[in-house]
Amino acid sequence: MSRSLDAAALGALATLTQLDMPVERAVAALASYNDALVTLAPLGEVHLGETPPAAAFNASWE
Amino acid sequence: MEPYELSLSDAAAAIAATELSPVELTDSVLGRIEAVEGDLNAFVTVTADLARASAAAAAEEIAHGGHRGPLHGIPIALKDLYDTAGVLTTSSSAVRATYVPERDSAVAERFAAAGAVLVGKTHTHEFAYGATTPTTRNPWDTTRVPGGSSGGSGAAVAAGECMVGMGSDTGGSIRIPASVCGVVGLKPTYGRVSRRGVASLSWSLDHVGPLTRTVRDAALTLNALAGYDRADPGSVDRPVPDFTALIGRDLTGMRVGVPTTYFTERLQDDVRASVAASVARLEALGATLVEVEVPMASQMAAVEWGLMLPEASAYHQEALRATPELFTAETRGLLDIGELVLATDYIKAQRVRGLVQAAWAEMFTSIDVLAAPTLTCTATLAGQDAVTWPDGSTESPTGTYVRFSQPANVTGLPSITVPTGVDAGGLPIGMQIVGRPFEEDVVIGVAAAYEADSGLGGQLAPLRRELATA
Repeated sequence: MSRSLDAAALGALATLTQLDMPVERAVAALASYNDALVTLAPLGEVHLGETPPAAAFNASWE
Repeated sequence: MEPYELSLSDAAAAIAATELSPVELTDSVLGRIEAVEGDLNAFVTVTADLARASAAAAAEEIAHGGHRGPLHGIPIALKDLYDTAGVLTTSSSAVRATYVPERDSAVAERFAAAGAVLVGKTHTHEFAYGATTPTTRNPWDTTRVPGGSSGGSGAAVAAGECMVGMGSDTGGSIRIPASVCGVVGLKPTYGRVSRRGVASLSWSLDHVGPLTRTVRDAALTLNALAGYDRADPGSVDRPVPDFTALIGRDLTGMRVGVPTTYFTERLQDDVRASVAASVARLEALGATLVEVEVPMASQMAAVEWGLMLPEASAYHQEALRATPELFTAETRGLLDIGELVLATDYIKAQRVRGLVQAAWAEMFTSIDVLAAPTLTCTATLAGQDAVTWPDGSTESPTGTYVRFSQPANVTGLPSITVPTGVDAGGLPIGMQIVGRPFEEDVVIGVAAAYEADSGLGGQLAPLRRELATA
């Protein structure tokens, strides 16, 4: 989760290209994506070991 | 007192005793809507003709001995995310400006079966993706936001435009508007109430539940709505108790967790003081206070956004490609970001979420409920783009509003907010009571004990008085 905007931008640009997004909108999305990466960064601070993912769309307690 | 000023519970008792007709009650509520909507704009659609017909049918049925229960003849409103057969359902978005569902959502079906009267569809932050509801104003101060995303329901309940306003809650969107509008908001346990037919923001975080003027009103509503529905993949097949069962009991033996971290950081001083005084009231009512550190607090926002961003973009992907210009710039920007979150980060968020749930389950072995501020601050000004804290840090209104409410979404635990008073500017403050999974009856019982002791239940926003003297 320590990716920088530059590193993330390569993959992001590929996605934005698929979306056929206007340049100015793509630039705005990339800048906001950098903020999102900062928000998501604490996920990388957790040692997950063998922790499995939650069932898709179902976080229930049963 | 006008009928629209009654709580659901009092109106239901009057209807059951044939002292009040559903027709009289509905006319009073529709009159109230007409009087205040110019200031508030809580509704996308007011279903006046449908409401009058439903009220007349309820009155006829009750007159012939067919009283169905406490919701029979009660005016309610649904957030405009809820499908309603034959009634426009826009999600407050140009994307669905002409969408008229053919079938009711599960919640609308249950309200209809209980004999409730739909008076309209309330505004949401576009597709529930935000916590301010820019279309609508707060009835405590019309220069301020009603919170969100269920801001229309919060404003409508607080102003007397309905007795129940349904919301949805992905990061706090029931409890945020309830808190800033001075009413009760109940987010049940994940899986307790069916979301079938409700536009999704984030499948694994979405909950649906009521905003009401008293805790008992919320419990009565949950009695009518809870239950398994195989059409909702998150629904859980659990017994449904009477959610009013613990109302009226004292708090002797109840262990109330008081957080020493996370919920104590970067919040308005009078919010901190009001909630601290309210927690002291719980102790005076017999509860034992237990200080707790909030586990995995630093991961909370990362899990919330790591799940919500890509799930929301997946839900809206087709519309985002076909008609991106129909989304507001704010929503479209968030949906664009969600397209960029890596699948591995999404999976990581799910895995961390499991650890958060386990850590919170461990915390709840030493406490029965957690009591904390619902929000960091009271209602912000309409158009305000940031909240600045004494340490110099800033947050967007949505960012700060979800900070204290999102843990109950990440964990899926039940949480109810109750009014605790007002700040120096006269704006409502709320306290949330969070409980163990499927123990809505416990959080309702604690909240009701506080409400009865504080005398703050059933209040209407002061707009009532301002209009009366205008």
